[in-house]
Amino acid sequence: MIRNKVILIAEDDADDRLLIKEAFEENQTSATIIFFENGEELLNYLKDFSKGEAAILPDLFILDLNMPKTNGKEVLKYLKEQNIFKEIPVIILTTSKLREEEKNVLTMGAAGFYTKPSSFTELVDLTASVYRTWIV
Amino acid sequence: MIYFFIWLLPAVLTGLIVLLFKYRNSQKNVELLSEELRMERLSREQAEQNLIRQEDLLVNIEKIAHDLKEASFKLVQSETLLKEAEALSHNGSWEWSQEKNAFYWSDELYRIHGIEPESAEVDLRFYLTLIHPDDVQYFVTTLADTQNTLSPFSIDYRIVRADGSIRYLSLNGTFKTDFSGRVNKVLGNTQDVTELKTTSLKLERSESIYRAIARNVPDSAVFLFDENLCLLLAEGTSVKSVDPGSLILDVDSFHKVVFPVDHRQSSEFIESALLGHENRFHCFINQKTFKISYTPVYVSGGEVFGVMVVMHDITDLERTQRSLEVKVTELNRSNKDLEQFAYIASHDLQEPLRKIRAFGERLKMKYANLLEGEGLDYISRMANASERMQLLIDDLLTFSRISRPGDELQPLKLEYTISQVIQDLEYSIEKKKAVVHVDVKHELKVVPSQLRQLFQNLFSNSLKFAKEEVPLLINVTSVTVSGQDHEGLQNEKNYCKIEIADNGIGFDSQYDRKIFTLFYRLHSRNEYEGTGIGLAICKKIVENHNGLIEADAEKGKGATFRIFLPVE
Repeated sequence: MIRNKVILIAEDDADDRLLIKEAFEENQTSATIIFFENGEELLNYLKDFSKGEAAILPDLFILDLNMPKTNGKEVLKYLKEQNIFKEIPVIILTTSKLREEEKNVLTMGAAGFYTKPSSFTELVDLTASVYRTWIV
Repeated sequence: MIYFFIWLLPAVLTGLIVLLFKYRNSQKNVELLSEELRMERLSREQAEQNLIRQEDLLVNIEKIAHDLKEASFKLVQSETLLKEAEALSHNGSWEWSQEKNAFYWSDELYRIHGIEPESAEVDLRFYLTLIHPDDVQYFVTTLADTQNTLSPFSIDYRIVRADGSIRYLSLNGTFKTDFSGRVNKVLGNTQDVTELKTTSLKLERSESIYRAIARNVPDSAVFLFDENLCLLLAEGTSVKSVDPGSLILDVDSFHKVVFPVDHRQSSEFIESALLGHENRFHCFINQKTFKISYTPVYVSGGEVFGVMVVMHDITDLERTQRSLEVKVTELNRSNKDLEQFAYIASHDLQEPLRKIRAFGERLKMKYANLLEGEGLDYISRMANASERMQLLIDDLLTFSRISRPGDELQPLKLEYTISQVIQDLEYSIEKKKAVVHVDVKHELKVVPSQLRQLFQNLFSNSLKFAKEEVPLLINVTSVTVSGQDHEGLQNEKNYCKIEIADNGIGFDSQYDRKIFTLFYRLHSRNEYEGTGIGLAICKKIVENHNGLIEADAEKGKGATFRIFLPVE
């Protein structure tokens, strides 16, 4: 059975959650997107997988870096340590433009580093590109 | 001495006369003898014997004459020696006699006074004219006083020679009295002590100099002890606060006053200084902090003759240092705050702006057909304004992020960076049909990303302010120049001078400095886009590299930017 692709997104900013959702919609991707308001919520959700209770593994993680409680890097570190998740691509989508930050997360195993674009059109292009590259 | 010989001379002369007399007598004896010979007809042997005796006599006379000659030669010799001795020591002798009421002067005494020997008769009245006017009264008074006691006396005074030079003399004299106790002679000698005096004056001056130095060392007390640990000197502005009761007389009292509780360290350092070692330590005395140093003092022979203890009151210095440290901490914190601000600007300030733009776009995309009349115009104005705001924030961030280069200095071929920038700007360069000539051969130690930014901004400027009707031409050259050849550069350094000249619209030269200030713009936004930050960024980058940037332009005739960067 062909199932919908699943994208798990940790993003604390409600506006960004809305914009990202609309951007994916604009691309007419058929992915199922689940948003988490911070890293901790996402990790809680992932616990069920570790216990073997949830069956469907996500296809892509999109993480913001600066989040309350558990931040993006901590989530990234956790994902790359877990056998069941470590092969799933992780994309960092953040406001940061710092090269060091980019280098840092790429070494930690992130598949891509993107700065949140300042226009919606760019965001649409970006999500399309990410989807094409890592999911289809 | 000379008197002795003068005295001797008559005796010798008398001896000579006696001898001559004896000789004549013996001559007489010979005559008498020959008569006896005739009269008594002495035998031949007798006559011969007489002859021998006569010869003996002659030999004796010759010997006496020789001795006499030798004695008088010795006299002359002694006199010469005396004269030489007098000349050498600049010591002249004199004699005043009651009888003549005048002085007898030795040759040297004349010379001491700058007068040709024996060219003048010296009496007291004349002599007073030779004495320095300021010393005449003293001379006369002292002389008068000596006559009350008639004991040997000495006077130090100055004379003025005919040529105007001033000499210091030291006179010693003794009274000679006759049987009745009346003074008939005054004998003495006078020495020219000018050299001695100037040496001692120099010594006095040098002492006064070192006292002045010790006195004027700021916030210090200087104590000098001799090898017997007695105080030789206590000078300096802090002496009063160290020793308010002036109780310090030697090292013991110094310790009692300065270190009443424990003077072990100081004692140790004093002893160590006497052995030729220097030491210093910090000490808290009477609520003040002192830096105390113990230094051996040497005579020119290299032996230690004393110890100098310098107590430097560094209370204020320490306070200043502390406040400086506090300021540095504050500055560091404020720099951190600024970085923090940059971060806030990058993140928190940009965030809402990004949302305004994104949702503006959404509004336009989804609901443009629902908006009537000016509604669409309002939305596009909002979008434009927020885009400008975005540019402004981005530029401001770039500006605030240009940090002082630390370890990130790297050797960089300028030509390489310039070609990269030209590549980045390829689209605009083609659009303007611009030609860029690059003749740059320098390699400099720089922050590569900052240099790239610098050339990017300058080329973008040239492209932006190109003339519509003429193809843009940009010339980039570099040469090495000496810092001496250009105002505002460090003289001892060499610089790489990079010139970027274009044939664009240029600007009025009166603005050639202002254009580098933050937010300064020469054109309205309708004419040319921009935030007024680009050249300020350039200036900051160049100054970060200890260089200099300046502009040279004429309205309508292009602009030239000159960058001076230090060469290693």
